[in-house]
Amino acid sequence: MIDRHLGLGLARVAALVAILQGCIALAQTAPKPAVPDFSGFWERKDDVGGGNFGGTFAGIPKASVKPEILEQAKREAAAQAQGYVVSYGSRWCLTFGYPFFMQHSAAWDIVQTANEIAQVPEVHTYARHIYLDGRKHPDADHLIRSVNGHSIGHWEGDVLVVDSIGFTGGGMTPGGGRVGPNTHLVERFKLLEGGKKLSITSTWDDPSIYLKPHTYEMTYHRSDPGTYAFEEYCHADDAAQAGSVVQPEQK
Amino acid sequence: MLSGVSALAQTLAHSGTSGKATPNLSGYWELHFDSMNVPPAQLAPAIASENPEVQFKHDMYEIRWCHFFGVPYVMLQSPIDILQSTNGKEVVIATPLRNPSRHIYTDGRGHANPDTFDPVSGGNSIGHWESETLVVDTIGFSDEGVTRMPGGGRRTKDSHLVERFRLVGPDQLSVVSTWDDPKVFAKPHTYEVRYFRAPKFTELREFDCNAADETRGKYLLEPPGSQLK
Repeated sequence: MIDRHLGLGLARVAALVAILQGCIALAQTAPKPAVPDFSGFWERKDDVGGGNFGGTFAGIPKASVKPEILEQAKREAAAQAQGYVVSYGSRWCLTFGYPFFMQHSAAWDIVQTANEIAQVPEVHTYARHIYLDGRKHPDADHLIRSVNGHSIGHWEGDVLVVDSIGFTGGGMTPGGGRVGPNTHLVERFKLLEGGKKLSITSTWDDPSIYLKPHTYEMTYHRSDPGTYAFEEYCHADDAAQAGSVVQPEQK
Repeated sequence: MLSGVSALAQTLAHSGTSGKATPNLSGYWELHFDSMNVPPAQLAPAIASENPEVQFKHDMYEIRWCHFFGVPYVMLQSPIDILQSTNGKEVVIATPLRNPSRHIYTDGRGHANPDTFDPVSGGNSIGHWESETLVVDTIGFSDEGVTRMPGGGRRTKDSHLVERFRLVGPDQLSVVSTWDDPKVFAKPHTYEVRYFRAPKFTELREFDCNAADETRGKYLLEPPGSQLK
C-alpha cells in the first residue's frame, strides 16, 4: 500500500519535472522579440545650425541649477577669460567622466550583445557597460563609483531605457549641468530614420545640483561602413600638453 | 540536461556575416594561476644582447605617464569583457585599464590603408571564422605603451600578430598568439593564454591612472622601496 502510494507519487513528481523541463527548455529556445540593432559607430553632425560643430549644442536647454552651481560656473568663466583655457584635467590627461565622450567630435562605437551593450570611445576613458541581464544596481555598501557610473538597461518596445547611478562626479553635462556622486541619469535610446540616426534623450536628476531634472535630446548619425576606431591619446609628459596661455594652478 | 541546453544556446547563439552560426565568445573572462603557457621567445641577436633594464625603464615610464598600454599588455588583464556583436560585424575586448578597447572587425573588411592609418598601441585588427576558431590578424601597431612581450622581446611598428580564439568547452577560452617581427624574433613567437568564464554578474572595475600624482610617479620610476626609507 505504502509502496504503491510512493510509486504513484514518484511518477507524478517525475511527470511534473518533465513538464517543467520542457517549459524551461522552450522558454530558452523560443525566439526573443527582436530588438533594434544599435551596433556600429555613431557621430555628431550639426544638421540644424550653421554647420559648425558648436552648433550641435544649439538646441540644448540650459540646466536649472542651484545658485552655488551658477556661482561656480561664473568663477570658471572668469578664470577662462583671464587665460586659464586649459583645465587642470586636460593638462594632466585625467580620465574623462561621462557624458564627455558623448559630446566629443570623435565617433564612438556601440557593441550590442544579448546581455550587454558597451559604448566604446576613443578618448582616454573607459568603455561604458550597460547590463541587460536583469541585474540590479548594487546597494550602497557594494557600489563602486566610477566615471561612467553603474548602468542597467531594459527594452520598452524599440526603446532602450538605461538607468545609471554611482558616478564619481566632477563632470559636466550639455546645457551647463553637473555630475555628482549622487546624480541619477535616465537615458532613452531610439533609432530614427530606419537606423540612420540615433536619438538619446537624457534626464539628469540630483537635488544637490538641479532645481528640476535636466532633460535634453542629442542625435547621432551612423558613421560610414568601414569606419574604424582611432586612439586619441593625451601625453601629460609632453610640454605642449601644458600649452595654456596661463599655466593652470597646480593642485 | 538543462545546463546542456543552456550551454548550447550560449555557445552557438551568434551568426556571423556569413550567415553561419558561430561560437559566442561574449562574456567576462578571467585569468587563473595556470592560465599562461609562455615559452621563452627566440630573439634576434640585436634584441637578445640588449640590457633588459632598457625595456623595463621604457615600460615603467609609459605606465607612470598613463600612456595607452596597448597589446599584448591589455590581454593579460583580468577580467576582460568580450562583446561579440549580435550582427556579427565586430568583436570588442574591454579591460579594467584606462585604455582604448580593442576593436576586431569581422565584417569582411581588409586592414586599414597604412597610408592613412596612424599606428596605434592596439593595432588594426580584422577577424574571420575558421570553423570554430576566430582568427584575428593585427598590424598597424605603434611603439607606444607597455611593449614588453610575454616570453621576451617587444612590440614594434613592424609587428604582426595572429591570434586564434577558440572555446574549450562553454567556460574556457583559449587564445593562441603568434608574433612575427624579424627584427625582434629569430622565429615567430607563439604562446597560449587560457581564460575562464567569470562568475555571473561580474563587472569591470575602472582602474584609474593619474599622471598628476607625483608620489605615484616616484614609486614607479625610483628604485623599489626607496620611498619607504
